[in-house]
Amino acid sequence: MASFLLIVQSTFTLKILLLILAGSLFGMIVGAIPGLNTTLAVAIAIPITFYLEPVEALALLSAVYKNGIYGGSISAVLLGVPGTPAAACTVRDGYAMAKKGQAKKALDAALYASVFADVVGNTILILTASWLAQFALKFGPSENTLLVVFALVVVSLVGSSSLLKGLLASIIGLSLAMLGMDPMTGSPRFTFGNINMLSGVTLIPTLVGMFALSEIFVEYSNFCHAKAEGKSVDVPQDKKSRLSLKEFFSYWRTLIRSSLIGVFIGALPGSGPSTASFISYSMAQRSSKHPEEFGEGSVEGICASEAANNGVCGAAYIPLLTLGIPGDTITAIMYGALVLQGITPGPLVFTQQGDMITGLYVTLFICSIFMLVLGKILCRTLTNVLNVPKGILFPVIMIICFAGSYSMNNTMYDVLVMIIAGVLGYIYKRIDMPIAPTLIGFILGSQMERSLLQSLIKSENNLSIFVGSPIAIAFVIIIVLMVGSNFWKLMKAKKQK
Amino acid sequence: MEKKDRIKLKGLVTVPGIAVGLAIAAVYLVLTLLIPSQVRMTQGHLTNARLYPYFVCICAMLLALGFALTFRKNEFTFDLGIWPMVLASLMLYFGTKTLGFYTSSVIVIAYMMLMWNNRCWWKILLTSILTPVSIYLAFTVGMRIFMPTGILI
Repeated sequence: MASFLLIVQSTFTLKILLLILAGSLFGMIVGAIPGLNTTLAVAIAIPITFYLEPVEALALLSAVYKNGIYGGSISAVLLGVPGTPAAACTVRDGYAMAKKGQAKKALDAALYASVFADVVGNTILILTASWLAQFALKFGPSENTLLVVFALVVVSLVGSSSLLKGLLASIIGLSLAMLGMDPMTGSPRFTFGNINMLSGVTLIPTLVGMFALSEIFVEYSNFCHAKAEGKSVDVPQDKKSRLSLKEFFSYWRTLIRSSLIGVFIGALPGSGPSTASFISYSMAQRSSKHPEEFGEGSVEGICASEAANNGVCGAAYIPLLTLGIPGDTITAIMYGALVLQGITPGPLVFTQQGDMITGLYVTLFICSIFMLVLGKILCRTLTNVLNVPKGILFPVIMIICFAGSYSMNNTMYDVLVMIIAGVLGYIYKRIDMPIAPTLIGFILGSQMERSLLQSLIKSENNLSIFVGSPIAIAFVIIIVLMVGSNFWKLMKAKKQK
Repeated sequence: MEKKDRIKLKGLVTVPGIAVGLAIAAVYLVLTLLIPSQVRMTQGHLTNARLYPYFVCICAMLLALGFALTFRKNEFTFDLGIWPMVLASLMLYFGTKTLGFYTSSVIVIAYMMLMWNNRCWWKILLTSILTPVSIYLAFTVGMRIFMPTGILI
């Protein structure tokens, strides 16, 4: 106990607090800008860690990571553009609320849910890290394949008027992920001789194009129609719209369930915040007393998606620290930062570097406090963005999106991808096809292909591997039940007509 | 409605759902036919490299045909009147390659604001200058990300 208190005391230094403050602010701002993302923010922060002690380095990177994930929800609510892929689900209800003049309330919901899940995730990390890591080890290639299929089915059902449209959108996402190089053989695939296509379609420009650029096209179309009818497209924001803590905690079931989903998904290597937020959103919609409000501006919907994607943050450290396996790109960068500090993540890190791990735990909670304070301050000012007329706002957004897309790889190819994705996103919106399944399919496509092929190689092309373990069987049953219940509802609705 | 504010609503195109579905199916049919030339066959593996692409493309084709069948009576409206915005994005793309990012963004912002019926010249000037300056400060100075330059800046 005495040594624990000493570690806590040594963590509460001015230097660490300033690093967390700077990291939180930087992460939140970068996460909020469409086109930039948390991975970029963490990568930029890495060189600064060269001059820091291990706990200080982890404090800075954790602050950037967690606040970057939350920052994505700010542009999701205000502009309808997810700042990070994880916030794609938040767009549905957050932007809908902003259009009704309730942007502040939506931002409050996103902030409180993120902080809540952050604290839950940190707590579970401390209490159950090794147990969760052992469970995560039971996920083999077949389980990973079924997890991806499950995520795609869930995403197809969420917010889509038709499962068929959702599945088609998912498959389009999977096919986009096929472009570039074969992950098993390394051969070029569907590159059509274009050297730029070797790296495939870049995620962030596609995301920015499909959400931001397409929204500009749609809003311009609405503007032309509104102008012809003598109406205005600018929606004044209700300055008094706030989320009370009483209303927030009335969704405690959703918050706890979503946080746990985020922790579970975060503990699995390869699965990220995007998957967690959609699965959580779907479950919240199914169990909500007002499922019809989801997609139209539901506070519960925002809480579900944000709690899940921030719940992932703490849990992402579990495979990293306990097994030395980075769960996603960001934790892979953190793995590199730890190695630079002379620390090798793995089972021995808890015994050999116990003080550092305890210090990390303390800094994670401090990051949550800073997220809450900074989020409240920033949101108050950022809501004023919506008072800017669209005729000024959207040209600025286009330029920022252009700059953000270019900054990924410093090539104009990514900008072209963004423009094409923008046109594709516009077509999606006109045929009422959901964009999110395409995005999730794109993100999980390469993981699905690798896992599927590994499963088939392992089983020598025997498909029974997909029902060969309790986890796999559970996934199959859940998927069949979800699809079956959707068809049953459709048949029931047709009979009633 | 004043003459200068009148915006003609042209360019609304209605496409039947069956056409949309068949178009998507056609794209995936072409991709399926291109697999032998675009995906190299591998030797010595239990599963071949074309299995997954065939699986995805055929599933997509079937789903697209299902879409065409299910939504054959639906009609989807596309507003071709968005062409100024598409043009703006293409102007930015090609303008950046020749004139440089900062110069072309000034031109594109001014053009877009005019398309959104802004007639206040000082707002147009202020926005089109402040935005590239802010991006320069945030990206180039702050994050050392250098935007493309052209014959101007």
